[in-house]
Amino acid sequence: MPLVPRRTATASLLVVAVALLLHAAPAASPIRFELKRIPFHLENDETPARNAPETMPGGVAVFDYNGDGRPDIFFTNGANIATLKKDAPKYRNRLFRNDGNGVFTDVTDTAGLAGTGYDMGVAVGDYNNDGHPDLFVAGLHHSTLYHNNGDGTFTDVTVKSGLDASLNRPDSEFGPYWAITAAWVDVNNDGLLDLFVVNYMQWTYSAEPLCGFKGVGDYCHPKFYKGQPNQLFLNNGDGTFKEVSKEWGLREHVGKGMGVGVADYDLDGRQDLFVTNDSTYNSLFHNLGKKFEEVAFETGVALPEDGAFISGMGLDFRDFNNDGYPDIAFVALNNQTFPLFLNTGKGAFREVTTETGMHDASLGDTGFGAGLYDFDNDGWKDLFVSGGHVQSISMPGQPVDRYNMVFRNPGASGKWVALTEEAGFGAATPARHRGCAFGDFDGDGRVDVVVTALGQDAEIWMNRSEQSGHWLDLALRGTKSNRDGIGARIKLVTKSGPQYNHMTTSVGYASSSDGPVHFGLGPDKRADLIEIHWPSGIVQTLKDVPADQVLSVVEPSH
Amino acid sequence: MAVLLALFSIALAAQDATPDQLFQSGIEAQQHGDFSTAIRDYRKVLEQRPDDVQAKVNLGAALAHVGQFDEAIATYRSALPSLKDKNPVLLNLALAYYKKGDFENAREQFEILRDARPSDVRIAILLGDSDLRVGKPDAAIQLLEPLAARNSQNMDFEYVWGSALIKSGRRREGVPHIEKVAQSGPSADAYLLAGATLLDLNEFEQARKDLEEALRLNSSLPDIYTLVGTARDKTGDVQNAEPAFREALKRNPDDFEANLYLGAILYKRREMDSAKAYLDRALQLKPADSMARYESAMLKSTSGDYQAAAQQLEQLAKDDPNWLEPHVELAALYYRLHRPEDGAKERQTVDRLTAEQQTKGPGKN
Repeated sequence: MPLVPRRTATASLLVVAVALLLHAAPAASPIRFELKRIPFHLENDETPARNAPETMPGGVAVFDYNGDGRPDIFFTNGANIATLKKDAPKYRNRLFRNDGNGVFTDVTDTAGLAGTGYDMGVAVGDYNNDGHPDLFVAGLHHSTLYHNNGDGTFTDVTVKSGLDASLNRPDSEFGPYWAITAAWVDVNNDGLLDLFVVNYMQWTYSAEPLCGFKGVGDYCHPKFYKGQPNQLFLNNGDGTFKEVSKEWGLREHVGKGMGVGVADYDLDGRQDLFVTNDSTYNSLFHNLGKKFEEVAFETGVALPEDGAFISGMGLDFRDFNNDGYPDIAFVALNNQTFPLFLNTGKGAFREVTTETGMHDASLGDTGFGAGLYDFDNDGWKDLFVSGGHVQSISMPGQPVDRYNMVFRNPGASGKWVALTEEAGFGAATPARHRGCAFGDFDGDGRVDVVVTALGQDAEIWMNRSEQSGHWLDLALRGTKSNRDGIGARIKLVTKSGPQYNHMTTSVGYASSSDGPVHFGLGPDKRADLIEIHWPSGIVQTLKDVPADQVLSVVEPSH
Repeated sequence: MAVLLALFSIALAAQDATPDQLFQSGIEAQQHGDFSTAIRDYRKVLEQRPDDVQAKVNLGAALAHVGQFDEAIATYRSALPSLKDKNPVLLNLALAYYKKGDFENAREQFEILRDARPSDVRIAILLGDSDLRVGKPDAAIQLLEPLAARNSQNMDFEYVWGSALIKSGRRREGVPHIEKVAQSGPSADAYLLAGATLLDLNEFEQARKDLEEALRLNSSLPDIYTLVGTARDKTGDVQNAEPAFREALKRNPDDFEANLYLGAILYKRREMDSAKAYLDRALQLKPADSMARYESAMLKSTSGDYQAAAQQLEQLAKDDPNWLEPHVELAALYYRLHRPEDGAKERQTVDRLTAEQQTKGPGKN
């Protein structure tokens, strides 16, 4: 019997042990979340008649309402569907203050944000440039503008601002507006945020089911309802707004708006708007400075490659391939895929859903909210999707309750990969998830997510990705531009190469995310160059910026 | 040799037998299921006594039993004039026509019997079924409706009554009757009929339940895999629809529906070459079919062959100007083909067609 040297034997045992470990524990997902609950229950007043609005709430906003550096959370909520009034405390909208260490305190009543109607979406923006983010709450036949007083309270200024007359009174042609969401965007680059409101469709209450299966009511297909145009309100700079929907060419485009993304897709210095419409063509409103031209067909984003109408829902309008041109990702129902449109840089888009692997990865999925964020800080934006069907009755193979999911961006090559259980989303039961908003709740440099679900408690998904790279967050403060810096384009260069992002609060479905602009830096501990193109036209350059910090950047005077 | 001798002696004995003996021998053979001997004996009786009505009747029954319906019918008919009570033989005659598949003549005989025995529900069932088989569902309804209430526990009646309702267009009324029959059997045929009807009614979930049960009971039913595949596809279970369509095509490569659906599934999965093969086959089988042409056009569009896709969609739009889907894609295609004016026109058409849908409103479709 040959003698085996002791050292070799030990090495063999180690090899065996390592092999066992590899088999026992599969490789950790590059993106991983941990579930935290927050005591907000989304009350949609789902009735047997299944009135269309009951499946549409609710939006959520992440924003620092009190300026303490910690992102807070605001939820919209439903109401009595028959009266459209919040006639019970359960219907209150909620504001939760982030006290740190994972503690959120309900400060709704103090803040004065409980609301009155059947609310849908929310948009965050500092419309009066006073440094305190304000809220626009989009609702069913009634929307509200809340001014942030800077002392922890808000004031309903809907009437005072002049919005009430246009928003909350029935239109002679389109009836009462059903606003789903809105975007704060400076469309004329005057340094003031204007308000773009996304309207859905014409609806009236019914006590009896109009659609359904075997006598059981379910939500009617949107094709049976007439659409509504979106609206634009220019900020007069004195706390009031003027509706310019017709002059800006919006009123002639009747759609069924579900989501809006803001980006300057052709880099002409003006903010453009992409609107997903439910079961009709998408809209891309190209900003000409004094009006919009609708160019969805010309730019190739009107329809996904299957050539049929799909239920376009939440979206994000950001550069996901790091070429400097904002791309589009939006979500829809199962068998419709989550289309990805790549900006060609030549004023048009090319659908890349199939070639990126997103077609196969998403074909069976159903989503409402979406957001492009770099969850593992590897330098490439991933796509988070809040899962849930619009219908309330499950069919075989088509459950209405769904898990949330994240699609990991493979970078310059490879296919997008769907992560659900692997990413930890199995910790919550499937649900009809709706709005989602993004922010770093615990200040660890990893982007967290808050998600609503019909008839359920909201979910906070804390980002616990273990192999997360370095990061850099830029908190912009405009001086000549709007104070939020909405519309500012940012190029960031590290040793690994350039990447791009821009400031917008319009992300997802009916939701708003007012965090700093986030960059994942992967292995790079510093940004060699940061170039900020402010909406004013001013270009600001920063060099050699250390990673792993929230950097406040003030727009220079020239 | 011994066997040959024995057969020879039996033949001699038959030759020597009297007509009565032969008749008796025929009856015994018939009772023991030896129909060829019975037929031989009855024929010998008739050779000797050509007007023996009883022998004719028994011969007719034996011939019908072995499927020689034409001769059975002729034999019954030759017996009828001599009979005082014609009804039993009329029933046999009608059944012979029915089993032969000659439902027009079967109807004629069942009608005579129905007039003679109006309370006999068996006759009503057979006449009603014959009505259905000759494409006269309204006649079946007229016949069966007065009997429906008191025969609701008779599953034969329920099957024909439910089928009559379905074929006369009262499909939602008919399905519960057929499902009752299906469950009481259980009957694969009834499950198949109920499931196929529900599929037509777009009640996909229940259709799928019935068709899956039909498949479980009898996988040899005609078109069962295609129907099950369709129900699975319509309920969103594409994953399980695919193997059903593949099985259907294994049994019949020229199954149009299976080719079309499988092609569409594979196209959706972007398995373009395989999808094209199935869609091309579907188009070969039914070149005028709108869905096959539409799916084929979509495949061409996604493959980048915009010109060919547009041409195909233009033809579809021409054939059916109010079909929305071809216009939806044509509008986008025209912009890709740098024909914005045509695209704008198509958008107007889409707006008009969607406005018509909206005018109807929910709950009115």
